Amino acid sequence: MATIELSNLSKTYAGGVQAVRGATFTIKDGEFVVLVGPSGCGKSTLLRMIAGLEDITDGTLTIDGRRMNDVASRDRDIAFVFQNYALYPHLSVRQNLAFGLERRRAYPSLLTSLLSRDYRENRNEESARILAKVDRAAETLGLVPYLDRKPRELSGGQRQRVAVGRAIVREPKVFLFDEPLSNLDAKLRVEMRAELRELHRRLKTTIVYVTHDQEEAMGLGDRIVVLKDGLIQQLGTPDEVYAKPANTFVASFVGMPSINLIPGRLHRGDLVERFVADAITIDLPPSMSAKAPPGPITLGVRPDRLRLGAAATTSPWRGDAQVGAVERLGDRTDVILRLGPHRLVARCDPRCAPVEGGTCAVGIDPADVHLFSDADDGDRLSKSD
Amino acid sequence: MRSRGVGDRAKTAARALLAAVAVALVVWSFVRVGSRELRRFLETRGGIELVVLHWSGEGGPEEDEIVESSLRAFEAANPGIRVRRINPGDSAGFYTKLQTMLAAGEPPDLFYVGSERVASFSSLGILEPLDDFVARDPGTLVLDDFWPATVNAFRFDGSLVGSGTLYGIPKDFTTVGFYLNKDLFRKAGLELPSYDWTWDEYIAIARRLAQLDDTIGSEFVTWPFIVRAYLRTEGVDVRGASFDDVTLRDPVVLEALARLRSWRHDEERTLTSGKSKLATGAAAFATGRVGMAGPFGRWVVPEYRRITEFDWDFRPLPRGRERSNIIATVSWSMSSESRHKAEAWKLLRWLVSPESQAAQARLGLAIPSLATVSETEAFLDPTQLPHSDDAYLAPLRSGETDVRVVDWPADPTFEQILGSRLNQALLTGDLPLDAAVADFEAAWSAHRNSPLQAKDFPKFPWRTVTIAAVAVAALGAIALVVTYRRSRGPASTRREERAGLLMVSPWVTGFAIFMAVPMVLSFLLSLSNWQGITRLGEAQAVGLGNYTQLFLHDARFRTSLWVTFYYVLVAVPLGQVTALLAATLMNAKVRGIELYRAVWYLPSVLAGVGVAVLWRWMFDPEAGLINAALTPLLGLVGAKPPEWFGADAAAWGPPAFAIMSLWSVGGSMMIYLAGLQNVPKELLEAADMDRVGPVGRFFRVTLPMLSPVVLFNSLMALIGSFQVFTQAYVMTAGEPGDLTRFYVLYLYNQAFDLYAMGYASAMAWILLVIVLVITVILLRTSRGLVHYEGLRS
Repeated sequence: MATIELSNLSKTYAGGVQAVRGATFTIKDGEFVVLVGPSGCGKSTLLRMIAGLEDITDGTLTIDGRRMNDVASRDRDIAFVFQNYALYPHLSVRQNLAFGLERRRAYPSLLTSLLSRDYRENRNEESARILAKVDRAAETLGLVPYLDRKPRELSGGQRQRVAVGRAIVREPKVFLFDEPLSNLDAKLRVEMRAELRELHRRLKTTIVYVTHDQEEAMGLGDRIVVLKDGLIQQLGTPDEVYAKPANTFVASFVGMPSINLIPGRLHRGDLVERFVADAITIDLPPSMSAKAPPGPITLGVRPDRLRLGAAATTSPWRGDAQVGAVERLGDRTDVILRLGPHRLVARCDPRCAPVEGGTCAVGIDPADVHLFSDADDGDRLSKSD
Repeated sequence: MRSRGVGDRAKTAARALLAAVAVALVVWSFVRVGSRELRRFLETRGGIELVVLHWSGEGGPEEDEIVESSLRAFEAANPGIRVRRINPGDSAGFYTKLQTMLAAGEPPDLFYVGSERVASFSSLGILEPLDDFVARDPGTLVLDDFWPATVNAFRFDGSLVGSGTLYGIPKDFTTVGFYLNKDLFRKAGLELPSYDWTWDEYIAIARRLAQLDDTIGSEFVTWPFIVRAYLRTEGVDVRGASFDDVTLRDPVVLEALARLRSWRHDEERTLTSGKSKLATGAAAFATGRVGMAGPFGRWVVPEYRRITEFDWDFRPLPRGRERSNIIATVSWSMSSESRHKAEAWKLLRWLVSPESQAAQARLGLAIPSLATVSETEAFLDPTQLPHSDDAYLAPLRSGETDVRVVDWPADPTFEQILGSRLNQALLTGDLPLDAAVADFEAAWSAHRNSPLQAKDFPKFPWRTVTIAAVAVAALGAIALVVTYRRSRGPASTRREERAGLLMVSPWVTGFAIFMAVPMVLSFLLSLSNWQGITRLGEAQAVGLGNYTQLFLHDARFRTSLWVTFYYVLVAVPLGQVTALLAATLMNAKVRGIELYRAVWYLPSVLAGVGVAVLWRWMFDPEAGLINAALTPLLGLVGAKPPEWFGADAAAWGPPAFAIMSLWSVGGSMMIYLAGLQNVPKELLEAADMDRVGPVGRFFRVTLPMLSPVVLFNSLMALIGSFQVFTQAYVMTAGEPGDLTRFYVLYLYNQAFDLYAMGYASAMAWILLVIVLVITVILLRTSRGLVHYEGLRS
């Protein structure tokens, strides 16, 4: 159990590439934090810095208040689960699970155990403890039938479990996961996700988890950290990040299908403020855009907030859009719409899905929109509370 | 669509162009080679081409030129006869070339023959008897004009050399004796000895010279024919009336050999030590630190004439109980298969004419075999060293001296075994005399009593065997075609297959002709007795005779097997550990690491012979770098470094070769390096987090990951180690005795020195089986240790 504090943590590689820039946040004891972002965003580097596999260029890292910058990774009391599992291929599952414990014996010397009786008894007792721990972990993870197999004889999911098992037998203060599910197929990935969540609930150990999959991040994390180009974009619970994305990058990275971003202009009248784009004009409540100066602006609206057909009739703004592709996904239906120059994605109930090629009324409620500045990765302008 | 059409057309054109270029290249190369042959054919059309094979070892480029100009003069004087000259360099290269030419059925018409080979060559029927030519040609070539001993050296009566049929006309000859450093003699206050000096005088002088600073009394080479020359001065020899009667146990022989051994090994600096293999005996004299050197013939004179630091002269072999000297001589001989014997004889006469001999004599290299020419200034040149040219002729002029050639039996094994045992007893002194003699007698009698020596084996049934082999091959081919036809899939697959087969066909053809046929042939030869110097048709069928002789009676075979196994046991683990260590170092991320890698790799691409010569210097016990470095180190614990290829060769000879092989671990290192870079980084990180230190990580993670590479490299090294040849051939030639006679070296000796090609083929097949068995055992036993999953796909 541990609290991890990152303070202005940076990593600059020899070539001058800045992988992580001034990361500052605190991971609370027992918290499940997910670092998420596209490839090259620095999430793995950040995790490896916490693990001690990468040197810290700048800033400080503390675990339970102890500065860790110069502590070797083996002494940080952490367990790391690698993307490709890093199981020892020449060892059986049992040996793989026991490996870390064997290396941490209080009574390691076989020779001394031959000479000293006390030592021998202690050592035997320790061996029994190790075996028990391995068995318990194997049971937890459903690996009992495979204990004597070599990693190559296991399926991807089983290997994944061994990798997790190897971490949990050690009972470390912190678990670090580096994209552990990305080598699994989609179905297995969802299953393992639930298992990991369950595991965390049981162990209550601090977990830092890296993934590029926003769905995985949302599903697993107590809080998620969205990274891009080495910079933290937003830190919050999945709900916060989804509901109040800090900028257009976060807004479009989180949520599937991606948020609709519509470039336009903000006009500030006496009574109302008005968002104007080609074919779209929405009156906004004044409170909403308090921070926004008039002028170019980006409006975001999530696909499930676009109202289609009959549902649009109550919307303050509505227009007629042409229906492009209609993707029926069973429980929901995604619809591609053309509205003037805009391409919008809407998600709706399959029962009221429009017909491909036809037209369809579409409505937007001002309460559902997000405003961002029109710069690249434009910051959120809507009020955050 | 249209642009695609254009692209296709361009592609077709490019393909046609490439094909045309390829065809043109092939045609051009055939035309070029063909036209060369054609031109040669046209030039000799209507005329006759004679082929002459000779060497120019000590004679150098001058001898080459003399033979050349002599041949051109002959051509000018004899229109219609062209002479093609082949000179492979030194005598060793010469004999190999001769052997291949003879085996190919294209023997040179005329060639040099050293007197030591007369018995074996004439027994094999290679040489044309010359008596009739001499008799038919009275007046132009008169044998009485030659020194009689030189002519008799080329007579062989079927068992002994010296009388009988004439097989060559001596072109030149030499007697032997000692070269004296006159400056050192002056320094020691010694007079030069008379031509009639004794061994007592000789050794007294050597001892006196040894007392000078930094001086060794004498170099005394112990080549077999020189040892026999020495024994003859005591009135004895290694044989009695014939070579069936070996007289090494004669008390006089033993006493004389013991005296020679004692001079070298019981006295300090009287004779050169024999440990140092750095220089041939002849070169030691040129350093100016050796008072006398010999017994050498005239052949060292061209080299000694280049000495500018001191004055020197020559004295004939001292006398013991008897006055005796030997002659060493080389003839021009004619192939028994020459197609133009009359013309060849004409050329032979020309080549031994007074003019040719005088030209050769001026080189200083040898003495004209024509007595009258040897008495002219061409040889007795007063302007050149040595002053006492007549010392070479003195033994011949005096009626009291017994001057004969040193003869050898038809079977060259005798000389080889005798030489290696004498070398061990006299030169390096590793073997007591009686042990060396017993060793020789055992090996020689084992060889003599071998059932293979029987002459009544049937001819090898080449016709039957060839028909059988062709039938098997044809059946195999038909079976292949049938299987191929049956298994044919859809048209597209067939097209692909056809293209594939066409692509590999050059290799398959090459393999069939240059690998499969020779392999089958060598297996057949292993069941035969073939000298490798006669036609293949002469081979006799001996069944498994070669194999039984090898396994049951050939002690040298067992020794060579042991030497090789010993080497493999040391070299393979040592080499792999070193390569892996080096690769680990080279895997470091250091600036300029590529340079270090190249430096480590470089020696493994260096050519074998040069490297071997270099390492011979390194391992020299007296002047070598290795022992110079080891002496002070081992001195701390009161030990001395080993004499690698001398007295300690039994224990240290093969390991020395193993140490040397470390120099070429670069190839293995590169493969290990590639393997190391394939070890997943995460595994090492995981191990690090599991508190495994760097050494532990290497053994617990890297090594298991690398195990397939280790297996591969070890197998390759193992196979290579069983085939050690060049190093041993160049550095020790298998000596002392047979202590560094590696398997393949012994195989080579059998095939090319002892003319036992069948025996050598059997050895090759035994080696193949040994390596195969060991490889299979290794592959089977290593299964639990090798983790192929470590290799990333």
